[in-house]
Amino acid sequence: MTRATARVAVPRATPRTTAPRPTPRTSARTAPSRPELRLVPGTAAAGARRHVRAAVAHRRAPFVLLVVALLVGTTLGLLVLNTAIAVDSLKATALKAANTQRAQEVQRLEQQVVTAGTPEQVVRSATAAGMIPAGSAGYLVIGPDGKSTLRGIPAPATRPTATPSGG
Amino acid sequence: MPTTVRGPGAGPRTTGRTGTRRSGGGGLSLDQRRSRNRWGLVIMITLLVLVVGRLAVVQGVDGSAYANAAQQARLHTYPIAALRGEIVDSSGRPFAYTVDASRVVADPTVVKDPARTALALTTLLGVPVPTLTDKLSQHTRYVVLASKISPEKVDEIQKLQLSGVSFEDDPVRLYPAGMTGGQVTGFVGRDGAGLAGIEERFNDVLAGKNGQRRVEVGSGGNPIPSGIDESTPAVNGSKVTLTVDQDLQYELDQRLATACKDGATTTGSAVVLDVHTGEVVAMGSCPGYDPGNYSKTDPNLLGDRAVSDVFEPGSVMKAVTMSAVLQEGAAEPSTVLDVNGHIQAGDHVVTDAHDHAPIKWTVTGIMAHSSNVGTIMLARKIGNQKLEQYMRAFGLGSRTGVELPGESAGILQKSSDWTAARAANMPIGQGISVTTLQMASIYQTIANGGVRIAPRIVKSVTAPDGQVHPTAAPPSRRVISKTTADKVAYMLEAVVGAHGTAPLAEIPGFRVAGKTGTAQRANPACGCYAGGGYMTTFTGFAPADDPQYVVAVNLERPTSSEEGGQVAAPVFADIMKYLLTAHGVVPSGKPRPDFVLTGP
Repeated sequence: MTRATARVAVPRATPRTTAPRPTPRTSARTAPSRPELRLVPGTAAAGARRHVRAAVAHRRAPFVLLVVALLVGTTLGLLVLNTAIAVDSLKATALKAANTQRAQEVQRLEQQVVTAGTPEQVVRSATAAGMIPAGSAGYLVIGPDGKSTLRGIPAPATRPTATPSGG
Repeated sequence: MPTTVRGPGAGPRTTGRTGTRRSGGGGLSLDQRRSRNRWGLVIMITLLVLVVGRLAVVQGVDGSAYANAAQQARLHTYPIAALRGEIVDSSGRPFAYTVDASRVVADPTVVKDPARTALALTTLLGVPVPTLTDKLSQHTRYVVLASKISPEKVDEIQKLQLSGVSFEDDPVRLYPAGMTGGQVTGFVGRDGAGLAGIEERFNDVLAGKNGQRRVEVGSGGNPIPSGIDESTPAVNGSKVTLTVDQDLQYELDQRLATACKDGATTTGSAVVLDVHTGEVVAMGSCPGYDPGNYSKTDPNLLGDRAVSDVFEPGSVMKAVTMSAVLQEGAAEPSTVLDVNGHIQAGDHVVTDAHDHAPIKWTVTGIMAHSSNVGTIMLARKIGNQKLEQYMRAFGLGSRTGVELPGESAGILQKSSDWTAARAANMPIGQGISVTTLQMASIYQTIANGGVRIAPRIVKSVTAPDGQVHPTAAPPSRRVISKTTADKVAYMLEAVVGAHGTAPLAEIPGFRVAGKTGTAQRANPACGCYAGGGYMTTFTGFAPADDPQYVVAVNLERPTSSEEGGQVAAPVFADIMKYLLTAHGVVPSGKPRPDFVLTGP
């Protein structure tokens, strides 16, 4: 209130085409003897206006720069962050894919081992290698006195005639 | 001091004066302008309140619901299939295991060019182009293009970068051993649920629990890299370890397959038990089947006949009768009987394999020559009730409880219902039905010094975390005394020798005990024995002086009259010989005792 009254009471040295902010009605009522605003010759006005504008612009420049810098900074920061996240995410995806590939490879190799280890395949491989099923086994048993005795009736293996039975 | 800059064109403003008319006021008085301003303000505030109110409702009240709906629209849920547990043999070699594979699915609304997509996929999926084109042109959002596609093929399809085509887990069950142990292992159906054997019985344990993955996807259906990606991991199934030895199982299956090709044998089955634990070391029947190819097998062959099919065991049952007689003190192995070639039983006459004049046989001799008449004479000494009691104690007429589906209890009538003819038939294994497993279990009891251990085929269950849960110890019960068991074992050894009925069951270097059986087979056509052929069996254990394994063999021969000693005994000997050699059983080196078969 006091500020507004003071502004009106002490007009600015520079003539202005514009009035200060509309003062509240109350102040108008309480100060009826306020000097009326009047127009001043415009010759010096343009220059003065430029001067004012320059001054205002001069005062605002740091603020605008700050805002712009903040905006640019934030945008760039977000961009960098997003890129970093995306890069990590892509890396994770690539690693996951590589992991899956390895798991598949392991599974494929395990499958090979299992298939090659089935009795049927062992018999086939052994037969292909020229092996024949064993005959009756003989056992040499070493007694407490260190002497060995033959147990069982060992017999030489014979080549089976028909099916590869393996036994 | 605040500075006000006014834009050009704005009229001069007045303050404080009332009633003054000014230009630029639209010809309105100050009051009117005030009124206009006031109303304008009211309208603006009202609008603002409305907008802010609505905003508050949308954002504050319904906000979470809208956000949730948006997220749900972006979220895609994929199932993660649990890996079905393995079924392995006693040394960990797999009978059944599961490998990763995929189901190729498509969203036809996203597929750009059905014809081109179909052409690209046809060779990789092995599905004809028209079928694929049809599926890809349907007005739906989900079609299955192919199942059980290998990871390698999936990689190739992914490289094609086809829009709208995606993959789901669809694991494949493999049976590397093929027909070996196929009936025990069983198989799974298309949906991955067990339908036979261990696969069926242990389905809950093997199956595990499926998980799921929720991913935030973009408009193209691809996952958003930094979006939501949460997974509920699948819990894989447990591993079931059997007591079966895959190598022996292979030998047994091969030997049975050979037997089934002899021209007279239609089906056959065999069981190997560990004498001291009651564990099933091998079990199978011919013709067998490959679980990986079950759909192309005759459905009648898909069971496990060693536990599901019953037959009349014949003379193999004499071991039970003798055990009862000896345990009851009605006779000793050396007791001499005057045995005729035939005996009257009600309105029937039961003969020995070949009718003969009265012979003085010892009880051991009766067993060695498999005399029906002698056995009936001995059984009559203890009576029907006692005989039934011993039969039941040996596990006849009730399931063994082995962990396999479809087990039969066999057929054993109450002794109170036995007719005179039946009472004469029972001691010699006619008029009673057993499974091959029950038959093996009888001999396990005798070989184990009279203690019967219920047969089991599952050793342990291993949880996905590696924790091993051994199966509960099977019930064991003393059926006959150790002395009686030893006496019966002695008599059974007499069978396998020069004067017994089964010289072909001999294994060089080892002492073998066992019993042949040649039972008349019921003819399904007439429900009588006429023209039914024979069930030939041999069940025995070795080494006779320190039993380790029991092998029971049963061959169905509807068109042949050959005896068990001729056909089933060699199968027994081959399987037992492999078993003893493979498991490094050393012969004791003690000579066979001298058997006294005839009396003075």
